[in-house]
Amino acid sequence: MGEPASPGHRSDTAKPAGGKARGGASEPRYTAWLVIFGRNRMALTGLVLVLLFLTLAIFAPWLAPYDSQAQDLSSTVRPPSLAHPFGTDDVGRDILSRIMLGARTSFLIAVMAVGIGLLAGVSIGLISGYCGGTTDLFVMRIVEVLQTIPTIVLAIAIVSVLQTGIVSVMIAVGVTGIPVYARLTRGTTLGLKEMEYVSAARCLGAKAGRILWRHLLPNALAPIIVQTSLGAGQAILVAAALSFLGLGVQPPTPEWGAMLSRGRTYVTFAPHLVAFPGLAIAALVLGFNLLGDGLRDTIDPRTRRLTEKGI
Amino acid sequence: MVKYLLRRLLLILPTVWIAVTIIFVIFRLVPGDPAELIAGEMAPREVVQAIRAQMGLDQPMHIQYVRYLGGLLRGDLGVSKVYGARVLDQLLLRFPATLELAIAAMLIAFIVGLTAGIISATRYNSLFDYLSMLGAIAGVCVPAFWLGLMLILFFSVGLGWLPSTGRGGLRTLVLPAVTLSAYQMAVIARMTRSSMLEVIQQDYIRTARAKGLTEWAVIYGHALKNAFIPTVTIAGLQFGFLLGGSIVVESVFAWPGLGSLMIDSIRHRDYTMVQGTAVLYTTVCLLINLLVDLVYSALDPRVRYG
Amino acid sequence: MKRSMYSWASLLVAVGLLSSLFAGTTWTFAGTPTAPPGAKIGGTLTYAQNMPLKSLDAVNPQTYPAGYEAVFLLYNNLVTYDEKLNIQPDLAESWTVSPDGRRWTFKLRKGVKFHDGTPCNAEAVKFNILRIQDPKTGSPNKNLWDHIQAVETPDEATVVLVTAKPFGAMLNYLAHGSGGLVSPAAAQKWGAEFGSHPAGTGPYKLQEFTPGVQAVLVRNEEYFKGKPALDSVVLKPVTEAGARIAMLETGEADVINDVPPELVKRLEAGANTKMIRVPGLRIFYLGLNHLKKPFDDPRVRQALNYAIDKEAIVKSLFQGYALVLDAPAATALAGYAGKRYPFDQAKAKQLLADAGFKPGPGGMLQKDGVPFKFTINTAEGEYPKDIQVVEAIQNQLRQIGVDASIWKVEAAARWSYLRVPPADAKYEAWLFGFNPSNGDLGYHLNALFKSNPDPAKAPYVWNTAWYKNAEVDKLLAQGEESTDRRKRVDSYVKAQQIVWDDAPVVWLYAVDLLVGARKNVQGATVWPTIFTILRDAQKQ
Repeated sequence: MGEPASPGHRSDTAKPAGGKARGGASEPRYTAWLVIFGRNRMALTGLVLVLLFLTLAIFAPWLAPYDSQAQDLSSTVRPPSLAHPFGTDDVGRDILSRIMLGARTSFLIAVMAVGIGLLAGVSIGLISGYCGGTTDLFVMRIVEVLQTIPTIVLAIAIVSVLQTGIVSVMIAVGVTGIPVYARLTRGTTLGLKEMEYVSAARCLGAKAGRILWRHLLPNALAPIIVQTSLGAGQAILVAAALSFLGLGVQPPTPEWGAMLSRGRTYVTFAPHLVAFPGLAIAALVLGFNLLGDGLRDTIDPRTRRLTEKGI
Repeated sequence: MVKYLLRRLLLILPTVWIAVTIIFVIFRLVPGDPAELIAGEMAPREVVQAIRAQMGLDQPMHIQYVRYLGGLLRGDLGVSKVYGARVLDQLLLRFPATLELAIAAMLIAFIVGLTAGIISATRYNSLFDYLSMLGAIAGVCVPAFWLGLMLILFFSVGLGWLPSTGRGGLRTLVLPAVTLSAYQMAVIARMTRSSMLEVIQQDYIRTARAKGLTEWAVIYGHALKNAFIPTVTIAGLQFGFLLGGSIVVESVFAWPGLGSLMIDSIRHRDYTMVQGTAVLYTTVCLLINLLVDLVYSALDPRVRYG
Repeated sequence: MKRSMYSWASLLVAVGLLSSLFAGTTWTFAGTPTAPPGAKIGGTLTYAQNMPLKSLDAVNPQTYPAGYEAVFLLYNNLVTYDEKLNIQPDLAESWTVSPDGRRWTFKLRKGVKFHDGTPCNAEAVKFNILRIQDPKTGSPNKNLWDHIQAVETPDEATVVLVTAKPFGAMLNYLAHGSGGLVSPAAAQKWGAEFGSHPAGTGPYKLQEFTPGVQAVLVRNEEYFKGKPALDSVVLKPVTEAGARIAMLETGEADVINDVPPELVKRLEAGANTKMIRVPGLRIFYLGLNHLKKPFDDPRVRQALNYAIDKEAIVKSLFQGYALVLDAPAATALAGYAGKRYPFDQAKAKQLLADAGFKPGPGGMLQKDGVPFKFTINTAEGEYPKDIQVVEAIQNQLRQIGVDASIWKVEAAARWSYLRVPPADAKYEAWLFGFNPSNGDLGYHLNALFKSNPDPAKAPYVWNTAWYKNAEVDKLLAQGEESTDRRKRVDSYVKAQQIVWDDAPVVWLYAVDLLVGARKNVQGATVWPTIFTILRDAQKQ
């Protein structure tokens, strides 16, 4: 994380040892990346965190000590104890179990939201960058607007239309992620469009779609992968914010942001209701961020500036 | 340069128009009749109809749209029936609060972020470096509303040093601004650090050192200036995010700015008010972007916009 | 201890309410002084409300209860309530009713001026009544005033209100917040913007109003009941309960409303804080839409009543600061108590079995292959503990095999789901709270249980359950028209008996009103109709 690039690790100067040369991308590059990644402690920590939560998400129903819906009205808002390591919430449910099951909700939302943003954004970016001209101008104006409207506002608006529920949250968060992928893809596409091998392919009569798929996309892929991880973290934060504002999933689905929102009233005398869900959010987002940073450093330290500027 | 400026300014208009249209359409699709909301639970039907007519909601959508655009061009953002006041007045009333919060957060983020980034870069791999980067990571991962609540818990309820809600005086600004600044502070710190580290390695720095200049001169004279550029660019973009982030922070601290106005208006289906707020946000963000690009070009002579 | 205190309080309030049903007598009272002798004069009182003020126009303050609480500071009515909900004179010194019960003659106080200096006289009263009856004014409270057929002003200080039929609850309706008298001159001058430029006769007048931020009211030096104690009252919206508590504890706020039940003891024990607790008239129930099967079957409805453990809900979610319902209205209002539906899962299951439900896969009930599944429409934070109650209900229903799911919507959009014609009605069950804000039992019962006149249109008032019982309708009409107190009470008790046994909804609870204040605040009262009244407040 943040280590200055040492000249020996510039991966695109490595000679392809085998496999097809696809317009600049070469198979063994990936092997080199794996090695670099493995040496990056922060990135590994991120990976471990993400995998840990993923395990929780998948196996939560079996790992959780209590049913996440099991209420006990006679012991509401209890502090952490042996029976309930994270305490109980305002209707007597075990917080630890709800956090574990909340991992499932968070992962689901993150994956779907990033998926939507990725597919839509990359498509838009590729088309816009490749076609150029007025299409590019028009499309990028819309993308710019989507980016200018504050994320939360856009998300709230979309959720309001679609009505609260986990699907609406996924769509809303996904849509807010589109501009980043679009701009990223477009930038890379613009740069690569004029390169020799693309012109060569065009001369050889290759159709637009084929060019996009086989030549441009693999080169745009690297920063996109980085952005995916970072985007997953972002998605979780936005989803939590939506739930915090009361616009997220339907109760009684366990979701960290919603738990935070519910616990707000009790923060003065039962901060554990707020503390643990918040830590869970931070931990998972941390995992995604470290992973994303690690990927970014692995692939190309200079990509960092590109992704952050959104060009 | 001037041509570029003019072109950019002109491009803002269609962008705002698109934003307004998108918001307009979205909010007409939303369930919930604002006339009913205003009339209240017990209202008889003819009252709801009267209000609906007054708000112009009984007209077909395209007429409503055209009317609204016409009003916009005249500078009339409409009247919010929910507040019983002109939208423009409400916006102007609440805008300073958000601006105050955003600027304070930006200042804190810059000062603390830059300082931390610089010191971290100069003391690379020290304990300070490690701790501050840890803090920077936390700043980016921790949800703002959670941070706000924790700060309230410690400084307001626990220690009683600072007030927890509302706006009035410098003391009320502290917690909300710090909460809002956390993300940007972290980003700036990391960005500054890595930019400086990259530059420090470059050859001409080694040359300068060889010339016998003092360490300080080397750092401030060369590395900082070059590290400044990407930081400024990011910061400009981040201001837009700040405006967005202020919505949640305003909700936590009951800060009476545009953000809480927007949330409230959306909850009450106050279309006119939401549209007005959206227009304001978009315009401000676009202007900030333009400003940043200008500053960027001024700082870095290699970049010139034709 | 608590039970007997409540019984006494309820008894007192019931007596007060029932005695206000009297018609045919002359009432004269000496004006009660605003500030008790030895009161401290001066100071600013800050009241942190749980929702913002939008408009300060008496006919439509929009936010409930915040708007009305401001209205009670800015305006006076012809008559008003005291804290026991007895009718007291306000701008009217005395009144008489004609023997046929259709003409009410009010003698107004002389020399009262509005905040803008114009006189408050019979013409002003007439203006106000016509204004609220005018659909163009857009007041949702219009139907509380439609019973007044004509207003006569024989002289400056006399007003006669004429009704089509005898209307026993006239005084209660006049005391409603929408009866606050506004200055005709100001209303005409400001038109649609009157809401931000109010002018009444109240103890405090508006100095500055920033919607969503605060409203600053200053003392009305010419208040006709005597100089109010406080220099100014500041009303601030603080939607976050935790924030309100914090403000009260630090002294940033002197009075706060809607205290979470968990924090009541903390405020009571606090060195500088105290609690004001009043049993409220607002009742809560789980509404059941009779247009959707199987809620048309009374056995099913009764089964659900047995399936919910209301005592547990009151005890743990409300920390005991609520009363389980014994009647279709709050105990203090009803004058009647039915046999409570105790928590009895066995009985619930038995009733459902009688209605044809058998356990299916997973133990969930079904009838003729159709599982017993429905949605519960609710918002979050609209009512005290609403989402927690609904989650508890869902959980308890699951235990007897009923599959209820939660359909959470935004509070602002809720009415557009509920108050619709049957053709558009998608709701099945919903959490509902109803507060008779004019303290009138007749209004309460009519609004909720009188059958809707038009089966093709939206419910007339709030009978969104589409409950229909001809006998109940008859009794309610009887009660509305009788001017004899005993007959009114009798009709309403009979009506409630039927409604209670029919169990059109799942009866839940009535919440206590929990208001917190600094110890040095005196004279602040809370009406059982929710409103925190600060017009006689002072700071020691």
